[in-house]
Amino acid sequence: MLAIKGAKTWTLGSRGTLDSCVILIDGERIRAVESRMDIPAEAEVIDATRLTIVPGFVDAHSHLGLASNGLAVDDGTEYTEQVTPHLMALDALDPISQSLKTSLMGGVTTSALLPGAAMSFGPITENITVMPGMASVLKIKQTYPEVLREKAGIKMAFGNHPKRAVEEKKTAPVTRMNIVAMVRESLRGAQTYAAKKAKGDEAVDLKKEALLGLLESRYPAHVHVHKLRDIELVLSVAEEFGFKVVLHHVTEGHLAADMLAEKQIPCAVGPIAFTRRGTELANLNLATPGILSSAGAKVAIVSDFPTFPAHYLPIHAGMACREGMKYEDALSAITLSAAQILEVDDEVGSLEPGKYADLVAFEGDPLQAMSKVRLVLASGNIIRDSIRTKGGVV
Amino acid sequence: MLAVKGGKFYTVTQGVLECGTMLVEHGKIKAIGQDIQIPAAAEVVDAKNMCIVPGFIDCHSHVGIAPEGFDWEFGDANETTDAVTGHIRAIDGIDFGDIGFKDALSGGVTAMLIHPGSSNVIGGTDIALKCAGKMEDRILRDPAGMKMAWTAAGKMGLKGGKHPYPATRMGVAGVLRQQLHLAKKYISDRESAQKEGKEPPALEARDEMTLEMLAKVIRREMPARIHSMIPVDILAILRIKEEYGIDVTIEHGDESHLIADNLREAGVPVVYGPLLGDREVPRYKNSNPEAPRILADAGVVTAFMTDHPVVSIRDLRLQAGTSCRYGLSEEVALRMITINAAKIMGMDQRLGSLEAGKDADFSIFSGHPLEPMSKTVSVYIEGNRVYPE
Repeated sequence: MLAIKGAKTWTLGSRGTLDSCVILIDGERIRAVESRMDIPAEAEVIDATRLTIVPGFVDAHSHLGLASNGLAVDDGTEYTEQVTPHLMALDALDPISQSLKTSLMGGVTTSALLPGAAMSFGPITENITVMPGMASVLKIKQTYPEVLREKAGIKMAFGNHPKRAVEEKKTAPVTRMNIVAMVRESLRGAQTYAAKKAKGDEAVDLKKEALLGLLESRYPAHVHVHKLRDIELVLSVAEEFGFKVVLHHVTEGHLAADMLAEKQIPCAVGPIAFTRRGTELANLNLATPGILSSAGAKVAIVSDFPTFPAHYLPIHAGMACREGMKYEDALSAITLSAAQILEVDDEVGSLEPGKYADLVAFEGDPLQAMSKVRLVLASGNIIRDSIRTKGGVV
Repeated sequence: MLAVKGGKFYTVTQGVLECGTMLVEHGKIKAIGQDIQIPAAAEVVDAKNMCIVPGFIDCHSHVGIAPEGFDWEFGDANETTDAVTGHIRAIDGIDFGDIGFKDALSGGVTAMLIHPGSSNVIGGTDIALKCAGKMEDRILRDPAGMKMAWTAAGKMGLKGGKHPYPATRMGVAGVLRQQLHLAKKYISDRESAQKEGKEPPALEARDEMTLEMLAKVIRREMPARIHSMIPVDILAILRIKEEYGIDVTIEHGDESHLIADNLREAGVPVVYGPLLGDREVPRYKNSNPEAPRILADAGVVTAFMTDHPVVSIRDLRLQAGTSCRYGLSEEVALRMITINAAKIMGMDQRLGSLEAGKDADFSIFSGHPLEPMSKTVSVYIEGNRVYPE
């Protein structure tokens, strides 16, 4: 048993924010969070007085583990085919990627693993396909990552990027019309498949099985989208087929904040500190997460690793805060809201009894760049502790 | 006359002044201190509870040459047609209307070096300029250096150019030595021709344009600014520096901390980074966020770069702030985006600190200048407010 006492604590849960508290941890889980309690005699105690504790960070859009060495995102997108919902990013996870450790040392304890990874770097532009595959949610741990949610949703991409993947080859799609048609065609096929399957006269089709989960709302579509016109296209297709959708990047989300809030569309925004790389990003704005959350939308702030290192999520949240986002909304965007968007908030995202003991203690404001990470716990394991021992800095 | 009063002045070279006063006249800092009388005629800027810093300087960016919000058609940073393009100039590729210049100001950056890209061994001349003002007044140095690159050898696929891209690191060094050798010959040919009252040997225009610029490097009128990341490349650069007696800067230097002592002994500065972006994803096995601190501790003159648009030039100050998380002192971190950068740019007589006589380029922040939650309240270049517009 482990007790961490004395820190100012943002629980993001029903206990709110406590100026000083005791967090009691039993094994992997939190047993209690109280402003005062008798610490059991057998508990190991860490005195975190003068530090600030927040839940372990949750990154709602990442390719962490896919890109094990910098630009080598070769395993992120199966370019040979545009619609591959049956592929799983999990199958390309490198469990010993150095970046997993670096992220964990910075307090990132939960991360989405999305297929469709590519990045723009200098003259290299992003390439992704219309439907690259299935996303998962990982708990990053001391050893290998643990799968928190295996089937977390189907990644899709609207807009310019799926056009680019095959621009030189002149294969479909080269227009937005065909991107939408390809998505509709796949889903129409899945509907027919479902009807035949109900009658028992259809052989198993892995692609259509993956899409069934979408049609049956077992998981959402995670849709890469930048421009407002594409956001509208995504929502119209989702409405037509009745599937849940999470918007990712949402670069022009601030132009439709009220609509997105009213329709309760979750938005995984970012990476907000990016530059306006290409026409689709011309309206990129650090204020977007704040405008969306103030309107009432559920907002995560994301790293899009390897575009940005995941352990700088709190700095991005700090920047959003500077541009008008409420402090607690900004903090939630990298903890609880992100967990809710990934539908893993019953396990992680806030400091509450029963949830995994994932937390970070900062010396200083967690959303400021100069604050030092002093303690990281993941599933109750001490990953880093420079409170009691002079630890290295990573 | 302008007077900025109250607030915390980070002078960089003369410590931190609490509740100071700074007088600005004719674009220069006239006086700065704690016991300064404000003339009745002065326009007063009240900076109480705020922080005042020198304008930040980014020694490695591609602002305007890789403009924002456009697709690749407008990217003019990389002339990937030849391994030697010393005849081209950054200034000819810059879109001065690029929003990147405004981004710079919004993050308190008032001066920058703009480089051609890193697709050539010898890539073209750099320009040093201020981020706002009338075109003719903005340019600080042109040329401000010759961009060179130890790029992933053989990867550029330049087979058809006049100088095909070399296939090995040895080949990169070979191309550079050849060109520096030609530049020395260019100088001696002209000197002896002048003595003898003859015409120097005729050259093709393009070669002449390249050698004219490389001659400035040989004469140490400007440095070679060399994209290089790892010890094997940096040590080759140090050998060539020694052989030709030229000035060089190491650009990026991901693993330069491993040979920090060699760099200090050679007097070679490092423009490090960018931090915060994808370069930090382990690409080189020894890259390390503590590198800026290790370089500084070893006595290497180090500055941060954004490599904009790789990382936004707006966030230059956050690289300094984030490095403090990894053990860099606040004071040294601030030097790395002010006076050290000014030295590397060759403009430290005018820029990089709040001192009487220097250009009145400064910013006022609502809180600590290296923190993401602090707002940029206003930015001044030569005494004129340039942000907000």
